[in-house]
This record gives sequence, C-alpha cells and structure tokens, in this order.
Amino acid sequence: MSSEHPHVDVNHVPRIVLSWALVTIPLGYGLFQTLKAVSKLFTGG
Amino acid sequence: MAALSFLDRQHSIAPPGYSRWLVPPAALAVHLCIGQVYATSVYKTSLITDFGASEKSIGYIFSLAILMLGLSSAVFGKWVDLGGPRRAMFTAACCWSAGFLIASFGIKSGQLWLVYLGYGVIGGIGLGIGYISPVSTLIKWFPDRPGLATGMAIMGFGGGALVASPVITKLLGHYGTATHPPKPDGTPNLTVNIFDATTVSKVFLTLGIVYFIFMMFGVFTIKVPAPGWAPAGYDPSKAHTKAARVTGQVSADNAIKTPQFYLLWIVLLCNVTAGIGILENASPMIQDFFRNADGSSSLTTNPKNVAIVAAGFVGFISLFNMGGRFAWSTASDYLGRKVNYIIYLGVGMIMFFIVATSGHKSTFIFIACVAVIASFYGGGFSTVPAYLRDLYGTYQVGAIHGRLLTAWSTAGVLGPLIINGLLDHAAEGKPCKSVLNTVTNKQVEVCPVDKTGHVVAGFLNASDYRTAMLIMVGVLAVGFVANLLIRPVNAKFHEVGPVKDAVDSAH
Repeated sequence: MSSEHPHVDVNHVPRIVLSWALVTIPLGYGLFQTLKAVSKLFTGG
Repeated sequence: MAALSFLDRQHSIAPPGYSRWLVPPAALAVHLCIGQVYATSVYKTSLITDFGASEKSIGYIFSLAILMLGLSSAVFGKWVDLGGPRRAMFTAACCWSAGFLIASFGIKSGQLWLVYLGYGVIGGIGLGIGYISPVSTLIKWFPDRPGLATGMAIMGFGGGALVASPVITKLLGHYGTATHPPKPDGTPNLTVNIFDATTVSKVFLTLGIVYFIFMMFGVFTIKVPAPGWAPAGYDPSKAHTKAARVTGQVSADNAIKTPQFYLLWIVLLCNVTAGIGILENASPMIQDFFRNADGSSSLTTNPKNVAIVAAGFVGFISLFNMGGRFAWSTASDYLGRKVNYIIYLGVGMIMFFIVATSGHKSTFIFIACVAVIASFYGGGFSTVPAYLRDLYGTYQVGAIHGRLLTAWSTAGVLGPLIINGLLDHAAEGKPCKSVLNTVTNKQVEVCPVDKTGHVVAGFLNASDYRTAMLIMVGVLAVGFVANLLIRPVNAKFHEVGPVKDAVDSAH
C-alpha cells in the first residue's frame, strides 16, 4: 500500500473523539428536543 | 483551477494508518445539514401568509427540492464517483448554501420564484449530490460492514430534521415575534406561529452560512482509502452472509440494463410511497383517528393540548425513522439485504392493514404500527446502497445509487398524490359546520376545505383514511414481489478482468 504523505498519523484517538463530538453534539441536541416533545404524547400534554 | 486542487481525489487519499472511524463523521456532517429539508413545516405557514400563496404553492418548494434530489443524483452520480467525495461534498455545500441565500432574498423581496429557484432547484442539486457523495466512500472503507457504514450516514439525514426543527424555531423567535391566525371561533390559534418575511429571510440567511461552515468540516475530513486498502483481517471470500458476497463489478451504464436495477427501483418506490403517505400526515392523522362523536379529540382530556400531543407523536415517529436507518441497515449485514426488504415490505403490509382496520381502536396499536412503519421507511433508504453493492460491486456504486434515487423523487410525488387526493375527496364530501365566532358573536360557516385548498382539521375521521391505507398495502405488495424476484446479476454484465473502482481509475 503506497502512501503519498510522508507522515504516518498513528494516534487518531483525539481526532476521532473530536470529530464524533462535532456531529453528535448537534444530533444529541436535536434528540433531546425531540424527546421533550415526545414526552407530551405519553403525558397528554 | 490550481486554487481548488485540494478538492481533487489525489489530495484526499488517506495516509497509511488512517483510521476509518474518521470517515463517518465527515459523512454525518453533510447529511445532518441536508436533512433540514424534512423540517420545512416549521416555517411553511409563515411562507403561506407572507407570500399570500396557497398551501400547494408553498408545498411545491419542498417537492421541487426532492425532485431535484433525484434528478441531480442520477445525472451527477458518475461525476461524484470519478471526482471523489471531497469535490462532491464541496459542490453540495456550495449549492445547498447558495439555495438558502437566494431563497432568503426571494422571501425578503416577495418573489416566490426565487425561492423555487434557490431552495428548490439549486438547493435540490446540493441535496442530491450531498446525499450520494459519502456513500460509495463509506462502502469502500467498510467492506465488511457496508450496512453499518451507510446506516450511519443516512441516519444523519433523518437526524438533520430533528436538529433543524428546534434550531429554526429558536431562530424565528430570536429574529421576530410570532402572530397567531384566528380560529373559526375568532380566538387566536396559539398552536400556529406566523413570522413576517424579514424574520424568515434572516433565518434562511443564517442557515445558509452555518450549513456551509459545518459541511466544510466534512469536506476537509473526508478521505478515500488508498488503492488496494482493506480492513485488517478482512477476507472477502469469507463474508458471513451469502448476500454480502460480491460476485462481480458492474458499471453504472450496464447496471441500468439489468432487470435487477428496475426491480430494486420498484422496491424503493413502493417502500417510500407508502411511508411518505403516512409520515407527511402523521399529525392530522392521529387527531382524526381519535375523535369523539361530537368532533372533539379523545387524545387528551384538555382540548388545548391536542396539537402538543400530536406534535409529540410526530417527534416519536421521527425517532423511529432515524433509528430505523441505522438499526435496520446494520442488521442487514447479518440478515442479508433481501431478508431486510422482505421485513420492510411484508411486515409493513401487515402494519398498514392493522392501521386501516383497527388503528382507531387503540392509541397504543396505532402509535406502535406507525412507529414500525417509520422505521421501515428509514431502513429502506439506508439499506439500499449496501444492496446495490451486493448486486453490482463497488466499481460505480455511487453512480448506480444516484440513478436509483429517481425512485425517491417519483415516490415524493406519488405518495402525497395518492393519500392527499383521497383525503381531499373525503373532505369535500363532508358538510360545512356552523361555528360561533366568540369575537363577533356571529355564526360563521366552516367548510372542510378552505380557500387555500387546505383540509381543515376536525372534519375527517379514521374511516376516511381506510382506502388510502389499504391502497398502501397493495403498493407494498408490489414492492414485496419485486424484491423476491431479485437474483444475482448475470455475469455478462460484469466488467472483464480486475477493475479499479471509478475513483481509482480516474488517475
């Protein structure tokens, strides 16, 4: 497997955590807001 | 153009040791943004009032965007595969963002045609390219778990609306003040918020800028695997399910010559048509299914909370729509794609039949059945790229996926046409009611269809939906048979000899 880049990025963990955090935070916000609305379905408003 | 050379495929090849778990967030960044298209209901009433237009005219904005999604993904599919995901995602970001900016100007200046052009056409192109841009790359990074990989990305599309709805609501409140239209009895309808054109315009402007920035994260993070890369320990000959074993590589031009493409097109069309029919009418449907003899709602003891409860139901099935995209697609790696679609379509038929015949008897039965249908709707979208990979290999799977998405555009027209046509017909047959306007103290006549063509709440009941639901049983039956007829692709359509995939072969 050839590489066009001189450096091997061996420690991806911080970058993985940061990348997933960037997308899961807004998704988590949306989920939280939706669950708040969903609760009204079961409590009758 | 040298300045944009960073978008070229050779500048996005992953170095040795690059973790494939960095790729799904890049895909999610794009899909979370373009998924906003399913949150248009938040400002729809405002646009109807601001433009003085009918509900149908404003509805065309969404329909046009979905139509362009299918067309652009079909037309640009090969371009996406050849140029690589980075260039495609960048183009999608430019189109999606530009669509909002042009629409913002159209709303501010009162020119509806600019909203059609901006959000509908240009934004729709961004939708189509953005939707398919990460899919083939994800399949290449996760050849052992293509269902999981594409499920993650397409779950983001479902999640996009969950994020956009509350954000748009907050932005509208931040930029303006809501007014409330009067109900027939003269009192303000507090469940409907209308914002002026300037406010909505500012929201569109904000969304255009924010989405562009967020999608750039995806653009700069996405990388393609180096030629010949495979996950450690992966052996394609030992794939754990027969369905996952790719037997040959097929080009996009040859794929559309195979009967399997059209069978899968029918499968997707039927699944989406049935799902859209119920999901787009979820809120009025639960209110109509649970109505007392005097017309009041049996959903809740406090009539003021009916809309809130209905909104909770919409949110509930949105969760199942999003969850189904990830869960069902991941499960397909173990069950096999064909079995998954047997479940979506076969069990889906049973669910629609139960809703049609018994849904009105119990809120639990109704909610449970619709939630399952919503999960199948989402699962149908997210499982299809892996199904295409099983049939046609990874060679030009992105382009083939793009062509298949014309089924979504068709369903986007067909589904509402069937169900709304039947509901409009049912509503027109109902007599008008006399309601006391408590402000003027006069009796006013309220008819089932108002002057904007909108079916007024309170006239329909569960029996008015029965025909539509049973038609959807038939629609799913067609898709069920089509899925059963899918067989491995004839080897005569396979590329001769070993092939580089479309991305690798461009260089």
